[in-house]
Amino acid sequence: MLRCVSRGGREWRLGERLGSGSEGVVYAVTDAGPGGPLVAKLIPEPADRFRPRVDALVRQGREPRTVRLLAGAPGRLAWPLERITAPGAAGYLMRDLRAHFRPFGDLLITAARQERLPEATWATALATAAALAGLLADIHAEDYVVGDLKPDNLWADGRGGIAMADVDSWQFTDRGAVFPGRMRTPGYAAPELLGRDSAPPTSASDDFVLAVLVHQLLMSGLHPFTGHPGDDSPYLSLDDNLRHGRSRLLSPGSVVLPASAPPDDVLPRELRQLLTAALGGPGRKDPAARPAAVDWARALRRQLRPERLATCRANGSHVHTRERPWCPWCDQAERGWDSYPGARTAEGAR
Amino acid sequence: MTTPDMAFASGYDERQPVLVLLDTSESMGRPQESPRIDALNQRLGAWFEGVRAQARLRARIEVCLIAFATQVDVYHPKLQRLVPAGERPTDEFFAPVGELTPPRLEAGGYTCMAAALRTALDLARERHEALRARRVPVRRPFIWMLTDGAPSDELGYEQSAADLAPLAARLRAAEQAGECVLQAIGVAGADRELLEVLAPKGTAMLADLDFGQILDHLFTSSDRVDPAATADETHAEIARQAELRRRLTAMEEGLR
Repeated sequence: MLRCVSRGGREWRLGERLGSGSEGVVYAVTDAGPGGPLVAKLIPEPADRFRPRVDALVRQGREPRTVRLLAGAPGRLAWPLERITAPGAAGYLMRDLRAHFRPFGDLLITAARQERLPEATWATALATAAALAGLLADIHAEDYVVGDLKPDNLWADGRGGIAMADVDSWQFTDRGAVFPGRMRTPGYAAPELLGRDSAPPTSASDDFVLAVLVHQLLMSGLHPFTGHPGDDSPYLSLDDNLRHGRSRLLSPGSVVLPASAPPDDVLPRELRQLLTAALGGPGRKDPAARPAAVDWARALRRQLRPERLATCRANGSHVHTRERPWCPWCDQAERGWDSYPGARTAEGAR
Repeated sequence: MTTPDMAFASGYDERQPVLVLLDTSESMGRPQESPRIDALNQRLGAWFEGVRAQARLRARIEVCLIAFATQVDVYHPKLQRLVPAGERPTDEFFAPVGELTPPRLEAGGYTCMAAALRTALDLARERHEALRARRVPVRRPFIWMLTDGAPSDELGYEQSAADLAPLAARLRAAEQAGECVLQAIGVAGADRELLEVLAPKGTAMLADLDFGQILDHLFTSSDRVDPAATADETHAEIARQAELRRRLTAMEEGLR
């Protein structure tokens, strides 16, 4: 039986090992009590930089700005609740997001979505994007910076709800001390954060990655900078495409995409303009020119209004913007792949 | 611009080919009471079963398994058996990581590591070129070699650093040209010095990790490293991740 102890001396029993990331291991807590299910993240000692960071976040959890962020049920953040120690390890307790959410990849990655969330439609993706933008806007309003915003740190409930984990990698200030965000993930970093001696993250660098994630959500997983270079130069990476501005959104001939990719006019005009401003010339070069998370949240909610959405007559799982007179998902299906075949079709296909 | 027949695992992610070279020489049949090859078979099966739950890896990684002893064979995922490399087209040796059922390996024979690496280099280059020609956004292939021994020729004679020098030069040139990255993992009695001739900065001795943890390490670090980094930077980053994994493993053992 694995055990850990919180700073007040309480002992917690750890059960199932839920997974390991680049720096720690997460276990289920078996005796969490009435407050709801908990998990424990443990990292190996020495953890000299980690402990004060966790202590500061636990303290911040009682500050008004954080209390506002954590309000509501189910909560949207796996905030560090208590620091814990175990032999050779330091860590913290947080809410178990699995109680209400699934890994974000289950919604974002087409094959996983069809297996695990077959009832999700484009409206689910739009609602999830709006919730993500809303959460990020609230985080920024309270002066936190996520820094390493990426699918691996996100959770979705398949009904438009979103939650975020790995709060211990955020950038924040506590009692005058700055705790910098250091983590970067290829494909999910703003251009000014690429390269070895890059600047620290900012809310604007989060906003860039938000635009990447919104694009992926609304395009059935398609990353805005994916694709083989259209000029036949060798493909190196998403970040290399970003550096060269290779993106169907920004320049249709700049990349080659699979014929099964969603049509580019899946995007309503308003969102296309925001994406272009965030990821294209102005936003790519000048962080201040990017739409902020709060702008995204408003625009995405507008597009979610029932009068903005249409449902295909041929397939009830095909939801799209009313701006497009005929169904984009039927167009895609004609080319051999349907991003939203619906629960019954997905069942039949298995 | 669009092109047909490019989507992988019905997604649009970049593709990461990973070639895994597995030593199946006689020494993998030791120790007699619990042969390493049995542990490897068990962990291989469990790992490929478990990866089906990992949406991100499934959407991006394609695998080619190569078994080497006196002879070098490549696993054909559709035929579900090991065949000599030249027997089938290169493309048939690569399968999405979530769709591969690994073979049951048997230990026996010498350790023809150099021949295995030459096969891997050829397959990696051919696959990389084929996907590029089809305009698939493909990252440079990763070659991982797992061994418990030292390189020999097909008659069982041990090879020296001088014998391996031409191959080592070819490997370095391929890495510098961005054609692949080679990582060597030594377990049990592997000869570190000779592995470092082949992979000077990409050799790790991971005797304290089990095969499941090693498979986790090689697939997740193939996915996590920055594809735009140089081979040297990639080796350094993977060494850092291996050290973290070693610390995590030691921590978890201490907790029990």
